[in-house]
Amino acid sequence: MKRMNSEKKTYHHLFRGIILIGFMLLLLKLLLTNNITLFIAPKMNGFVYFTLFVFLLLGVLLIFRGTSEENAHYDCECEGEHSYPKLKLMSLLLYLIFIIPITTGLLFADHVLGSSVAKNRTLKLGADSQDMANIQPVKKNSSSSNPSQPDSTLGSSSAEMPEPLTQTEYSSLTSNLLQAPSVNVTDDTYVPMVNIIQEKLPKMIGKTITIKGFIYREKNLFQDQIIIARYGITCCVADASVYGIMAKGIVASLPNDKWIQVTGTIEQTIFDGSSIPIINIQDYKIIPVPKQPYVYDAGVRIE
Amino acid sequence: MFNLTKFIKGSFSILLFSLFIFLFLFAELVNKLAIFDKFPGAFFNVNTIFLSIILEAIPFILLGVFVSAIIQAFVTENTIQKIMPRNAYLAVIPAALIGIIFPICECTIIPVVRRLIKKGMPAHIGVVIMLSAPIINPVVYASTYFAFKSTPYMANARMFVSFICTIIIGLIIYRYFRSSDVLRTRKPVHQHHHDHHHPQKNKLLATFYHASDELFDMGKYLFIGAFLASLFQVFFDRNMLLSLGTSTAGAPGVMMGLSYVLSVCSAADAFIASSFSSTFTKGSLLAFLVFGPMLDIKNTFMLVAYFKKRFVLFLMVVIPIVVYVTVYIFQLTVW
Repeated sequence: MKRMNSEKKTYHHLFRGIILIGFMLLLLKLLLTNNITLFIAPKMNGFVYFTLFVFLLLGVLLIFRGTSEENAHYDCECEGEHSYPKLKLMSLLLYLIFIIPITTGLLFADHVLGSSVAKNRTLKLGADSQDMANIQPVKKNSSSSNPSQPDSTLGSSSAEMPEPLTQTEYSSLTSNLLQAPSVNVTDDTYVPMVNIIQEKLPKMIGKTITIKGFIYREKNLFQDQIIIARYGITCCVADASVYGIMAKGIVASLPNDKWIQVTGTIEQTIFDGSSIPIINIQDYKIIPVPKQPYVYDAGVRIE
Repeated sequence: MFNLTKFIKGSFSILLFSLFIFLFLFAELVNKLAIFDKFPGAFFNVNTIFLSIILEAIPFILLGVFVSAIIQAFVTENTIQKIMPRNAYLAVIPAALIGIIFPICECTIIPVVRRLIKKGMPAHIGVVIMLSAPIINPVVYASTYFAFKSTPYMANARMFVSFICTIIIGLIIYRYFRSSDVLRTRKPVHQHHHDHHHPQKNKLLATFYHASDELFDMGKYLFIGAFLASLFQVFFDRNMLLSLGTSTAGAPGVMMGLSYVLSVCSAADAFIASSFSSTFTKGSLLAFLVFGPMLDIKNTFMLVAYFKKRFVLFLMVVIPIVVYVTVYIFQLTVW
């Protein structure tokens, strides 16, 4: 009886080892194809390497444990708190919980969220009317309760991994935008730029803007209106929020989810009772889905 | 008969392994198959969000499992007894602030706290650490501060209200679970591999085996929780809530429900809350920010893996009530 029992458990170890190796392969593939950026923000990559390494180690150990003749017993002082399912059906179900996501993950890793998810999210097209009333300049080091954040040196960020802006960078970006006659919205400063355009709208009117994103429509848009949208991600896709600017032009025939780059002038319109920026399209071109469809780091770092 | 099962299991494992290798190499060819075009788009969205929650959570669960293994190996019951303040009531205050020194997220803290309680830490202290550390810490403060750039008092309010809530919850648990065991114990019916034939044979190896067992014990709950959360992420229309956002009494409840089903990490949830800032009351955003890291679908399932069901149910009743009442009083008196 006892022998049979441990015999069964060796198979559990073997299955678990294979599942961990499967997971390791999934992570490796995501890293090699760079599809990992479609799941979590680049700043988390270190954790993915850590997981990959641990899974490889544990997987190999478990496979050896599951296939070795000698049944090594071990002492983990945990008073039988681990459970191995006894029924065959239960163990099959248990392992399917892990096997199915690995399979679908390997198969469909290149999926990019589009407008069907965006329509279930809230989208901010203009400045918060609530906040407009009581915008106060944020005083630097105003309260002693500010926990100090480690200050990384400027310029250490690679193009692929945008660091959150510091407050000074944010304000210099603001003044740059206010002075420049034209605005080119780039990926690494996408969220702050869109915020600035929304909040300083009266001073931005008339400027030329170039921006790219996927086409998205809310329910109560006019025929000639679209929203040029992007997903902004803080940690993982589950926390993705939609950002975007409305645009108008001869665009009624363009389908949702097509990626587009538009150039136009910033104007003002009224939508849902508040005034928001709108791009009067002068020129647009359909572009392929970019390698990095999402933008990262919506935040600004505390100095 | 016995050999047949052995044969089936053996071939199953070989098949499984080959499947993974095959997909690793040729997934790009397989997913071009016409049959996948018939899959609804929602399937791919759920799949992507589900995997992203998993990929995000696993490293932190691994960290939690390893920290708990280190505690198991190096911290004795005596040490825990020594560092615990004598006074059970006052002890909740340092426990609620420990996240300032150790900024630990939801996924990491649960295995660690389970281990600490097993090592003799009183349950109410453990729970206070578990609920406060993922909120009252510098990382979360910074992200809240900048998600609410134009209303910087939100970050301070989040810290303060979380502090009050965790202390109240800790004291309630002290009242009801002072001497009872809150951890899940498995029935010792099936005597298994803990035969202790070779004690101390290889402690490092034992730690790794232990870690993988714990990973799978916890993993199934994490996967189920993450799957449910991803369903809500894809199918639940958040714009439906917008009309509910203005009532002082109802809105906090709505936002607490939202934070429960979305299961977003505490470092990122402030950005989601801020997307509601034009339509929802400040109090309801605060309730979202305080409640979400304490309890959500994902960590409810993780709690079930480690704690008695009765205790998890108790937490699921007490935490929302305390958070709701505290936020309600806070928005009436302070704001």
